[in-house]
Amino acid sequence: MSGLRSAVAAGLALLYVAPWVGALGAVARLAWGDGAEGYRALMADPQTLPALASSVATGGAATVLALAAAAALTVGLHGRPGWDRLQRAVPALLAVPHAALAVGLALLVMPSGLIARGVAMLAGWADPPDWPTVHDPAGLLLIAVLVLKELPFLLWSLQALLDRPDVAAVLSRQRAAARTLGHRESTVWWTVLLPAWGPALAGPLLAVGAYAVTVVDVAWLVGPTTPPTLAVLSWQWLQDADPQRQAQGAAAAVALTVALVVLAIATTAALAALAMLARRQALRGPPRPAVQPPAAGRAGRLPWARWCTTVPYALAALALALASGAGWWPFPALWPERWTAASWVTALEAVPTLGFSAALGAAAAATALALGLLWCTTAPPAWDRRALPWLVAPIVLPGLLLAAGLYRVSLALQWDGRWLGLWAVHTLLALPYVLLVLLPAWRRHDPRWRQAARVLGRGRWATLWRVQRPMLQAPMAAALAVGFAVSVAQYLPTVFVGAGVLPTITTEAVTLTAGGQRSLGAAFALLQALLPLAGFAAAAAVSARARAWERHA
Amino acid sequence: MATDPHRRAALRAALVLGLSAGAAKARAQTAASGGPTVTARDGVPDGAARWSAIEREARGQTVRFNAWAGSDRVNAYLQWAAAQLAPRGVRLQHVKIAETAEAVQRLLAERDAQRRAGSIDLLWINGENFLRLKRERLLHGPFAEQLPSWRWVDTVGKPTTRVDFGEPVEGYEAPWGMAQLTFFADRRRVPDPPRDAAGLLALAQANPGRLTYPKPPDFHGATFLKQLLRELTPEPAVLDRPLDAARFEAATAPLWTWLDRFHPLAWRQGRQFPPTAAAMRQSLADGELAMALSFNPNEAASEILAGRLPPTVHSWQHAAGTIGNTHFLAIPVNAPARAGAQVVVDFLMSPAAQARKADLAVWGDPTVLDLARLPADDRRAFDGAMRAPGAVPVPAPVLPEPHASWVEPIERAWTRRYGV
Repeated sequence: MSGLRSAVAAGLALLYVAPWVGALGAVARLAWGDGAEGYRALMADPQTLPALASSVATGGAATVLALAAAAALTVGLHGRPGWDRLQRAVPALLAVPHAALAVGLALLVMPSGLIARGVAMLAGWADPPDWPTVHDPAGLLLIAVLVLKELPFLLWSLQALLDRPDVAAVLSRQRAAARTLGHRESTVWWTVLLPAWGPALAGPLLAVGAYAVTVVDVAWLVGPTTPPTLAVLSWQWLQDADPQRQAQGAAAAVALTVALVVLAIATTAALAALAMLARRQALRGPPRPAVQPPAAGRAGRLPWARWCTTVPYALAALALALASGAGWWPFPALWPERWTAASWVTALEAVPTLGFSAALGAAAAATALALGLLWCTTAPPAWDRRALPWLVAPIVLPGLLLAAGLYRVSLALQWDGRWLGLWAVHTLLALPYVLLVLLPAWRRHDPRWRQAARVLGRGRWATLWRVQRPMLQAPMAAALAVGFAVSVAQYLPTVFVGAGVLPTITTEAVTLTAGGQRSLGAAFALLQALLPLAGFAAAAAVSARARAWERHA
Repeated sequence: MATDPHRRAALRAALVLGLSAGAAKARAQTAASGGPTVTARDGVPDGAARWSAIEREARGQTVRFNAWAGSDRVNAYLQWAAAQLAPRGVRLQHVKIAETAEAVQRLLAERDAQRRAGSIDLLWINGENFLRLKRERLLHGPFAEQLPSWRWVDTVGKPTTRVDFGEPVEGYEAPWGMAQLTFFADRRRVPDPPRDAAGLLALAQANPGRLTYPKPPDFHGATFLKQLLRELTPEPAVLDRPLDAARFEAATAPLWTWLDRFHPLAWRQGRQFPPTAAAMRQSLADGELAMALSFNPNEAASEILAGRLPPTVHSWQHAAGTIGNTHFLAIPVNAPARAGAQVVVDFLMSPAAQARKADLAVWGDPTVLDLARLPADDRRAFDGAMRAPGAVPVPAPVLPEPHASWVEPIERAWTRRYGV
């Protein structure tokens, strides 16, 4: 019945693509509405090229460094107690909003930050030093925030991959083989395992890269300013009331997307080449025999590596907690001069919106997972590649335009200002992330399990429920948690499609902190992390249970 | 300060009944200025009849007021306003937004979808966003000058209540509050505030690395440039006319000379700039900067009250005046609750609401009304608003914004010189 299955998959694709086509209409109208005017303005603007270079450099560096760090941590820690401890911390790290980490780290490193105050006490400074630590022209703090924030996501995706019984089996076989042949375990990881699984990581990696190159809030908070990244410029131009500036903003968004597509093709090709090399390598065996077996001393250095990931988060949270209650706090005092509960009073008034946000997030994530599973079971694997641009597009394109476009669609359907519209839009926005987490795990799942179940007389859905679901429980829970977090974090689509009258914790947080008051921003940053934290913790519990079951079986 | 509902009802009745006498003068002015003429019917002034019809229609309506929500004081004030309006049968709902541009985008989308019952009844707005909506014919009006409270508006002393960034308002938005560029600093660091651009440069010399301004095209950063241009340009009158490209060089040359001397003395040597005025205010509190700026003359005073700035901070304006403007309330053309929105606007422009808004303990937003023309009782309500530690001691004259056509060329020239 593959014809019926393809028809279901095609229908699903249509259901997903149709609203985006409507939304992209808004983008296209602005980007091509008055001919090439926007592009001419973009080319004539002296900020464009340096801003594009800045976007690509910071986003690219952050992606490569995050991938390298994730690989190094996996090689160094997997199979050791440190890995489990790190994975237990990952849900908490994932739950921290990007902007919160950026603000928290800025509070540490800025010239009047906690570090400078500590130094001032020892050195006897009376005034903050002239440190270009925030908004530095090279974007170092921006890169650092992005690496720290994307690393947990990559570790999470890797864990979901490694938790799959078939992958786990390959892993233990390869390890045993390496030990038998006297190779270093890390050699096998770097030369065989990681390259072979590279393509499976392409989805998450693409999401990371797309996010890093197009991110607005973090780049605005801590990124370079003269000029800012192109994503920030595009966002500023799109906010302008002047239609010509808006056209320039749309043109900048298109330019950024083109740059990203080039980067994505290059990355995918590189990963595929690595995988091919690895297959050849595997046939020939690892390149050099290890001089020594895995040394116990190596493991001693690894807890340090683990702390590199978690300690910045803890310090940022500490800085945010201090700032949320601080009134006037003159330099170089280590402690605020005046404390105030005013920000927490305001923030706690928004607590009732947590329930609505949670319900909306759960509904959207569950629907997105159901649709994602339907795609996985009906679409031929070859279709995934064609679906990929549509999955990445909503992550890449400017939020203001997409929100305006989705609002147009919801107006046409008369779904604006209604729960139904918000649920549909949040599902639509969660779906790409859910699929990017789910697809690689699903497609690399050994088809022989399914075939065996079918041969034993189980139906398609029974096979799905009794065989595939338990084995893919961990990636499914991960996808659900990511979808939930994506829904909870939506600001513009919620304000637009909800017509502003269906407030969530995020709309409250963004609107109430628009005045740039630090203590209020800090209080909301901590409050906003609550829901995603619960989601990721639940997913971590599911995957821990799956691992325990695996060991038991 | 809870207002007695009986007194409020009486006040309202007096407002409506007293309209014939009070509004006669205003109508005469409107007629003289070529505005809509008013005819009498059955001996009842048309304006009063129309207004009571609007009030009747407003009963039971919910007004979705899309307003920037970045200040807890503004939000608390709107909650108070909602409580005051409830007895009049109008439900005021504050729809919180982070940027007015969001609301503008929604209105454009609703226009394209030909949605006749839109999602916005009232909008807090001014400047370019107003210009865009007015040009796109997305605003209801003219309505502002027909409201009962309009007669107290100080259109002579505060001409920006009728001209919004060079664009004639023509009754398509109602003035709500006043803004004027104001500087503030810690008295211990800046005991003698500069009185002009030259003084500001001297202050930078005395505090190297501690002065700066938000990066244009940020609203406050652009205003800082306009302020300097007004002070330094050889022929200020040129700025009030549409841009003459041939005179741009000569008019702006002194500005670039000033900035070329200022930047080496500025924060990060003028190679970077803070993103917003709010960031500067925070940096002032942290000790990274010696001076911050705001459009609200009472901002420093209210921050001191909130315990976020030390009581030693004081505010000033340049002696010859600083750039000022007005922020407004507008009603979209597709607002379902147009009558309710007008009742809300009329209340927010009323002496009682304006006095409470001007109160530093509440919001500290300067009034659009002419205090001298108010009845003595209403005027007394404003007394507490003026004197508070940190507020501007002697307000300087308001300088008008340069003609809107100057803004973008100035921003472009700035970006080319200092922004990349």
